[in-house]
Amino acid sequence: MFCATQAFAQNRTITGTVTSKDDGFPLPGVSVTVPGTQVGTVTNDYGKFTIKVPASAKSLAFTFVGYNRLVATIGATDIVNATLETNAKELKEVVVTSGYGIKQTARSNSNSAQVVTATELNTVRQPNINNALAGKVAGIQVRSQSAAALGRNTEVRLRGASGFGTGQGALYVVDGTILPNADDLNLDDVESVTVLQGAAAAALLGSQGANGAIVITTSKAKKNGGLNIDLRLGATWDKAYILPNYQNTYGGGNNPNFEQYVWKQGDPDHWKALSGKYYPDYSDDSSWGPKMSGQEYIPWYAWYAGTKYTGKTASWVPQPNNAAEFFQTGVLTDNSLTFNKAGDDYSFKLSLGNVYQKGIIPTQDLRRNTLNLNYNYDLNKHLSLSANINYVNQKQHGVVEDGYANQSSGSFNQWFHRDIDMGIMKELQNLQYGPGQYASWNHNDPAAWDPANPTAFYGGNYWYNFYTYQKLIKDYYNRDRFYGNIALTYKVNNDLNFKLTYRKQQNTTFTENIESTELAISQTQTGRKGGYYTYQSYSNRENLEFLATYNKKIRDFTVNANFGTDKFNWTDKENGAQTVNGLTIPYVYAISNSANTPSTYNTRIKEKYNAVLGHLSLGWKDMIFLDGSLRNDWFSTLPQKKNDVLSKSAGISFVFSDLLKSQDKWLSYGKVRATYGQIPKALGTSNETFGYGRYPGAAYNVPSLKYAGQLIMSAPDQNVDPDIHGSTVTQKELGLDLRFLNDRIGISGTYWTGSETGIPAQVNVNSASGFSSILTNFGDVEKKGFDITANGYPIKVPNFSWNISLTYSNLLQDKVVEISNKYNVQQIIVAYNTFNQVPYLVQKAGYAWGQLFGTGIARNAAGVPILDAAGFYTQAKAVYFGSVLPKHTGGLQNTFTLFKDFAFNFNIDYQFGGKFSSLSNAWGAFSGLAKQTAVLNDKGNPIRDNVADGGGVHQVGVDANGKPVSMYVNAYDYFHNNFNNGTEDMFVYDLTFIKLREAGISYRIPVKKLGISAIKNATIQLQAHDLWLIYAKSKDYDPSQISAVQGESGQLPGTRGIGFNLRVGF
Amino acid sequence: MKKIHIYSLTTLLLLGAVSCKKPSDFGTTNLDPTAVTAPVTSALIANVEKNLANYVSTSTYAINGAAYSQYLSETQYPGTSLYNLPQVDFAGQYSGNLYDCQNVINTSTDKNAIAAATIMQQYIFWVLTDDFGDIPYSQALAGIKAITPAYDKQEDIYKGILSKTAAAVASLGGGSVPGDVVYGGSTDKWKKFGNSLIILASTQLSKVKPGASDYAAAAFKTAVAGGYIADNSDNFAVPFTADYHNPWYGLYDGRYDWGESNTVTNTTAALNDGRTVPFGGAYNDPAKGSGGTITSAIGVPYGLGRTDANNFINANPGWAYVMRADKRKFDSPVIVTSAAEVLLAVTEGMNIGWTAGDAAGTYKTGITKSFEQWGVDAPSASYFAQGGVAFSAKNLAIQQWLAAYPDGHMGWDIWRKTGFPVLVPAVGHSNTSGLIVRRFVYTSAEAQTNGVNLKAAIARETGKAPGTDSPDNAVWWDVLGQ
Repeated sequence: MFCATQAFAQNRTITGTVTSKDDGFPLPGVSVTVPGTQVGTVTNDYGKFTIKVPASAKSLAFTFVGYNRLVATIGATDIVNATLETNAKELKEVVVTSGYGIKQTARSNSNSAQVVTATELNTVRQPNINNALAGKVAGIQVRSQSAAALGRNTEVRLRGASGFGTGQGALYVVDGTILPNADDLNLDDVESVTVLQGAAAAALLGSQGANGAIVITTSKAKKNGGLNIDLRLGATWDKAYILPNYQNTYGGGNNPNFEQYVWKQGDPDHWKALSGKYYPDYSDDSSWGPKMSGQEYIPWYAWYAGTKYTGKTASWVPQPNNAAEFFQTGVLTDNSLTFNKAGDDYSFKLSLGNVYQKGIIPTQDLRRNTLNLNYNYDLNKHLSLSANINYVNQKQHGVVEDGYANQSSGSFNQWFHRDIDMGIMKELQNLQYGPGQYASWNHNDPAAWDPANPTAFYGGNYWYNFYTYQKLIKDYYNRDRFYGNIALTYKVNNDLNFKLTYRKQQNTTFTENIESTELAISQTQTGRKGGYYTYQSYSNRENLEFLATYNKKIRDFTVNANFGTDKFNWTDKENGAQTVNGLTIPYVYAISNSANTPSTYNTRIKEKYNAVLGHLSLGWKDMIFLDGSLRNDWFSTLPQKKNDVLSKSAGISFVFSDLLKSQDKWLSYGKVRATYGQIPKALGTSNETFGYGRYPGAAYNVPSLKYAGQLIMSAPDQNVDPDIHGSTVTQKELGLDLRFLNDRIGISGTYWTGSETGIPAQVNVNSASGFSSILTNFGDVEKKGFDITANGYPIKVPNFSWNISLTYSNLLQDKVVEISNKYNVQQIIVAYNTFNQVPYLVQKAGYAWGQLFGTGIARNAAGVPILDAAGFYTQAKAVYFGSVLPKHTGGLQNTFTLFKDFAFNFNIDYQFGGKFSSLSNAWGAFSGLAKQTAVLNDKGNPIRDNVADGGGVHQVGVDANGKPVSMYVNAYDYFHNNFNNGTEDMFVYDLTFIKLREAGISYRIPVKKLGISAIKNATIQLQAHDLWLIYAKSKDYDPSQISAVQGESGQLPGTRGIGFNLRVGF
Repeated sequence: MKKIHIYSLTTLLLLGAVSCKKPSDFGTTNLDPTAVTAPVTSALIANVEKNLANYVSTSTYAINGAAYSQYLSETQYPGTSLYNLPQVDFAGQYSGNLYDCQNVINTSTDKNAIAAATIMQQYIFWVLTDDFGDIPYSQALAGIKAITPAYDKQEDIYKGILSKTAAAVASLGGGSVPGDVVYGGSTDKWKKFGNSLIILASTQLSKVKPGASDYAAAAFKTAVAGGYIADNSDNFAVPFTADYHNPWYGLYDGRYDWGESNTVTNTTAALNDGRTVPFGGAYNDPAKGSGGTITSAIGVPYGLGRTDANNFINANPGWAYVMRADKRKFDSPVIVTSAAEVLLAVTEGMNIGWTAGDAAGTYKTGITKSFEQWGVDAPSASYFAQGGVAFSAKNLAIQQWLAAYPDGHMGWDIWRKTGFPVLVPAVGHSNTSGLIVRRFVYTSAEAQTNGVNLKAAIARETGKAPGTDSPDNAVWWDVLGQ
């Protein structure tokens, strides 16, 4: 078959480069043909082409969507360069990149693959690619994280969720190398992003592509004469934005009254001045204390000697901003420098990026340096060598803790005193009452004074001074990631080439944690001990790929075929050690200094796969296209007896507008497309693994610590099915792409259905069987939805244009059809929100994917709460609160351009539907911090007043016999009972939001006019991210940044960032 | 040239990339080099022994009982002692320790190992059924063959405990118990422990199956005859080490949520009981965490709400921790079953005519062994002569309650069975009924994973709210709570 290429009489080889007249950049994917013949080729990534033409050929025709057709005469030399001019049409054709770097024009593509260009991605500079994609791609749900959570990965869901865990995010493919996340990427290196939605689009990637893939192509140098240097400088200032609503009426402690302090013999002398004065309950960390009305009291710090506040009283006044004041202004600087140069037979690009991020929590920062090298060199006519090498180093101080009772948001929102003056807290962060012993706002009450043991009074009861704590807890994290590939391409002729690629992704990390001795000696009940922890990991992923590519145009037919193999090998080794029960010698942070035998940790993982893959695309008259792919994988992680899986996809697309006469009028482009894809997965539960060790499972770990000289062991709680295999993901879609009014408006719609069956997950079974779960294949998740994207120019006049893009997707259904009929299990509990009193995540047959279930308020058939005799809610064991998946997601991007030099962008994204539970608010209500604990009741009286005095919470419901009840209950008891009794319905919130995520104004500095010859171009931009949460049903948290799938558990507040960006080209 | 070369080269590359070996052959790649696939019997036994101490100390299964029987008071965040809904999960015990025992029974060929595993397994079942009432038993631990095991009636569970333990005792002998860190492998001592379990469990039925010829009495008689723990040297005392800490030590390693209840301090004070000294340790003992010897008899008032409890401990810096610090050092043993507990149970059997013997004398021996166990001087004749001590069914119950301190499973069992000591319910109670909790209720997770069988079990509940899952209901043997 290869010999077919030799069938034509070809006696001349023409080479050349095709560039765009607009910017002088090379154009890849341009079709080059000899008019009147079937001879043709397309330009490569660098806009270059080589074509063998018959001796009779007089000219070459260049066609590319969005550009005017150009016919260039073949002259005496064998070089024909072409410069294409954009046509009147406004919307450009895009190039879709799928697995293994295979490129297709959008015209021939049968999927809804959406492409985001660098410009669209970076309308406003985001440090993270997922946030930058939010709202710009239909069918994507970005689960952002607070910018305060340094170094945390964000996740995206493509077309809803599947699987039975908390869900699995998309895969990231950077120039063909698979990365578990793309947070390391310098966005300045990105040329385009193709989002492959699910199985049909990503079948060529096999198992790992089943949940869709985000394919990132980095930019390469373009030949436009000489060396180009691009410099970008950016800085953003971030401030805590959305915090929970607190009550500002009652102060700290669990005692609604002050106690009087009377100095007695044995008490410190400096307390004498306080004798006769009143103090609140310092030791309890709730805010059920006295009403704050400016009365004189003894503040927590007055008891410590040696400050200007010693022995002095203060006024008991609200501190409404105390939590917000703790969070400092974060700074993000993000700079990069790029060198580009390309010649006839080489191209070279080197970029250096640097990110420095100062967190909003004092002492936390992150530094990241990235290096990206793209190099291509033609060794001779046939052989070319390319290398893509990336190195990332990230260093982080301070690890984000944002779970229950963490020492910032976990306190402010769960356990805190509303009267605390954060300014004085900051001022007194170095205050000590003994050597290395630090003062705390949450110390004991003066009756605990014991001259022999000052810590019993002065030490932190549950909490430290937040500033002191951040200084004393020292977390350090370093990661070196090296990834990329080198490839050798052998170009047999114009139609056929072979490429051999070696890829590598090596990630090494070093983690160190010091828990300072000071924390141990400054406390009464925190249980903190001095300690040291260290952990190192080495991970190396290697692929050896072979890919043959054949492109040919025969009369009306075009053939694009690929065949390849892929051999993968992953080695992971991890070691860690930790001191146990403190340190033998204080202040010496070393494993060997552990008070007890240190604990050690050692993991080794190996995974492999072998794959054979093929892809074929056939086109007829550039109008009808058939597309198909097959891939067979063998996995080391599957049972040996059946470890191969076959992924497949097929598609068709038809550009029907070519048949219409009206082509350039109202309907300038119309295409229908349909695809089908099926991917059987391996056993992995994340993108990092194919499921090492899940089979055969049932291993007995060997603990390093002997118990009284004996080895101890415990039986595994999971039973593993010997026939375990991966799930099967299937997706079908039907799409329509239309462009109107000379391509001024474009609309694209896709209806899709998908399913995942036979999911290898653990069925939680009743543990009385002896096993808590069975790892087996079960379940059926069926989903369907539609995605719409629209874009166009509502206004385009000289010197002004308005471009708008809209995305909308509707998750019509994402339903758990079956859990396991085989084991008669209809539901599984997936994840708790720390405490089982708070609604948790369940997968139950017949319900939408990811349900919040929990103990809740028992209600009668009419939904009226059933109250007990005292007026409190009674408990129902399993209440359904709704699915965690939003139903509608999308965004809106606007760009206004004025005089070609000014551009104004704003990007809105939204989601509607979906629930989360809030652990912080559950505790905030229990602790009397939340606003709802200090409101007025329907009589107009404070609910914290005694019921007898007209206070109390009004409870309306029915009693056990169904008789209506209306009564007032004590507020303290009401909020305590809700938690203790697990009737927490009011802490389930809605994920709905509309957000102005990005806004920017940029100005192209007229360097030429200003006569600055050294500078080619320069742009300055003022920008903002997370500027305005326009609408949200839940007022306490930003629903676009919920830390866990089931909900919030003490997460850091989201931030609003404002900054600038300067781009200069030399 | 070259086409031939090129094509052969690519063919070679292509084959090279895929083949060499069969693409499906990965050898042992997927086997974890850091673990084994077959269990080590001795390691399973040692692990369960270690964990058994939890059942009688700080686990929810015990400490809640210690709160309900007023051994312990809460100091900072009272909840359990105010009768918050005791929705307790038992699932982890089945897949954990109970199955570890079953694993020994299923995989070992060593009859002593199997017998020791059986005895410990039945001990755990005993604790669980006393907490809940009906629980999965006969169909439990059968692996994936029975993933929704039926709940057995408590009476059937008791019969099973008595007979399986007896069979295990009978099979012990020759050689030793592998991995045993409690008795050093001695099968004689394991026999005594097994018989002691039978004695304690059978006498728990003395109100519901009092007949001297009934199965409880029969099991009791055989066990007494077979020899039981009658001396402190035979106590089932679980050792702890620098790496595995005594759970009571752990309870105070950081926080101090629990204190000795004033119900205990009032009782010991009234009896002028020498055990006052080791039962409570002072909060302000400088060595309270490392083994100090400062006693406290300032019991924390039982059943106070949070504000009152906080105020009490703030105003009484010498309030009592559970046990004096030297009795709960990191490496202090935890006694699962003591000579005193067993002797006092034997006393009861003698007293109600299950077996012949000197009940009053055994009673005194039992009390004396308790004093000895706590390291205090033997009780004097005047101690025994007090009205509050002199042998009677009521005083026996109170002495059993004192001897079992602070084992909440035992304390709660004794109170529920006998009504002694007479307890005043928590004044700050959070439950509507204001009654002392008589059983745990099942969790939401049980409803999710074994709903049908759970429903049947709930339908069998009797007591204050029959047919519903209520903490005010009574387990089968709890005659007083019906």
